[in-house]
Amino acid sequence: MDYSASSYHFRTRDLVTIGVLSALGGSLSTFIGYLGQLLNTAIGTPFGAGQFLSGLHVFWLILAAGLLRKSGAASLTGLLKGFVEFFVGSTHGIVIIIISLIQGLIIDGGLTLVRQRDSLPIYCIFGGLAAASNVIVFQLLYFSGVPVVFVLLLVLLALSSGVIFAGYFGKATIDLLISANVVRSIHSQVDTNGTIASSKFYQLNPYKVSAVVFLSVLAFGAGLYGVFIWRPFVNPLQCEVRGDVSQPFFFTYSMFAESEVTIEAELVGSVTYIPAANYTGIPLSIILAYAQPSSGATKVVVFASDGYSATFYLSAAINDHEIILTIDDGFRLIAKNYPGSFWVEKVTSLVVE
Amino acid sequence: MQRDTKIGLAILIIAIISAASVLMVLRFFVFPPNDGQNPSMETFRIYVIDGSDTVTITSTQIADMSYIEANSSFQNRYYNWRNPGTYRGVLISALIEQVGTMDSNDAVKVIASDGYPQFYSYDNIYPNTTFLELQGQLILAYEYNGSAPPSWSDGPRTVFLPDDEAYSVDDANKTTYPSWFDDTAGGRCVKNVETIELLHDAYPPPPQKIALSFPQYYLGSPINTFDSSLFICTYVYSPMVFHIFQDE
Repeated sequence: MDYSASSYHFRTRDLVTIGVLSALGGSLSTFIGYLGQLLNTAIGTPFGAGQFLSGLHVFWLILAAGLLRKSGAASLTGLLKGFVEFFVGSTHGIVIIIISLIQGLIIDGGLTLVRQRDSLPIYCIFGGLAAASNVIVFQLLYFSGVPVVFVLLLVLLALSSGVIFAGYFGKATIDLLISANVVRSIHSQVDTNGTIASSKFYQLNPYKVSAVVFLSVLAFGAGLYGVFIWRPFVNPLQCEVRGDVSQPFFFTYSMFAESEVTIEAELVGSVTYIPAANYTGIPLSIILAYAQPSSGATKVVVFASDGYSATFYLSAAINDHEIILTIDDGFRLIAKNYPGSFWVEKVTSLVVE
Repeated sequence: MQRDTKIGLAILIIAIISAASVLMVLRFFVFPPNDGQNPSMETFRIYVIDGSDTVTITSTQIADMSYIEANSSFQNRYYNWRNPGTYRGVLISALIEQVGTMDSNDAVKVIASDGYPQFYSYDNIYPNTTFLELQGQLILAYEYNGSAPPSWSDGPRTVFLPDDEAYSVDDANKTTYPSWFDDTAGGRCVKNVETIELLHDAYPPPPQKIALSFPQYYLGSPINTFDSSLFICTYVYSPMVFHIFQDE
């Protein structure tokens, strides 16, 4: 049997590159989701604006395609990245694997069709299309019932994001890594001595500077998020109540099991729709009453382990018995009378403010 | 600059403009601004109660109702003018009508999130000409000078909107049922309203005065009241006790 390198489409180095990029992309997905939530808050929209960052998910696939320049590189990276996202606890569940794979297929398919694949416009176009696909696929899978115009706006936003973050910054990063000799591309210029020409790396230009700044911001932000926000190792079956309360405490589901109620609720989000179903859990009001919020408290913020949060008015939360915490592999907040963005998975703390 | 780079940058610029445009459309048209709060995002809830019936009205639903907007201000108990500005809100009567019908002998109890209560008579809720002149319409304001909760930390708030844009202590005195008047107009404007309750036939007795009567050997003789003009004869067979007499 011939085990020579030429027998395989991907060499070991390629597979390692795919693995590294998938791991980075998958593990940073929760950070990107958190950034999306911050963006929604900053813009003042309950959902939707976060699609502006969807290109960051595709960035890694463009890197794989651009650095390896082999058909299937983006698809394999997408598939692996989807698995990583799934296992680190994506709120989309197994669907995220399909989404990520489709994004990789679009990039691979697109680059296969064009002759001059290593160009900025090509990366921008297919990066954009791949990013936009997530909105369409989610609609096909869930059909959340939001107006078509709104879906088109999200598609355009995701497309633009893909062009900017996956296409432009992806290509800039590829060129930066190649010129810095961090990775070798089959198209790298090799001088007469057989070494890759890297002198151009030190010739700064706005293109390279933008890539350096982009990567620095991404790395710095991810670092801050990992240190201060992300709480992957907390006990998912335990939740904390703290803040402006007389009695901060940790609780497990069994502590309030006697107060369990069942409600019927349907989730209507920007991309996700779950038909009306019965949910059994503990009313948030019971837990808050036990904590005894101070008279000056006005809000309760429900935090998830990935930093996602939803803010409720305390008076509304105390009087609304259809906001409940269910338990499965972690606490999940079901808020019947609220948009899907108020439903929080993997709840780790309730902070009264 | 290479041709590809130029085209790429052109696409990038178009993408940036597109993204900015979509974000602006989302912000200003899909989710119109409301002082930093998305109106589709619930910021408060009002519970309107009539006996065992409760209707929950969200900030989003209130924003969809017909509103009144006018300038107003009110005096505190020291006659200082407070909170002048433009208030926007819905009639309390419109909220009451979501759950029941108010009769002339009914009252409305408004309770703040901290438990502070205020009572309003039928004439406060459905003002006649005299009351309109003194107090104006009574609204549940959800905007103050264009600011809504949570930026407006006092909202939602009950506010009177007299024509002279000034709800004075004197206005409050003349339009408030005596038992409910506490020498302040500002106190009649409840901050952070949470509950509006319709009370049927629920007027409390007016202010009371205490009269003292003495043991049985004074039987039948009205004596020693704090206000003899209001005295009503009582017969007391026990040692000294306090009796309560109404002043009307």
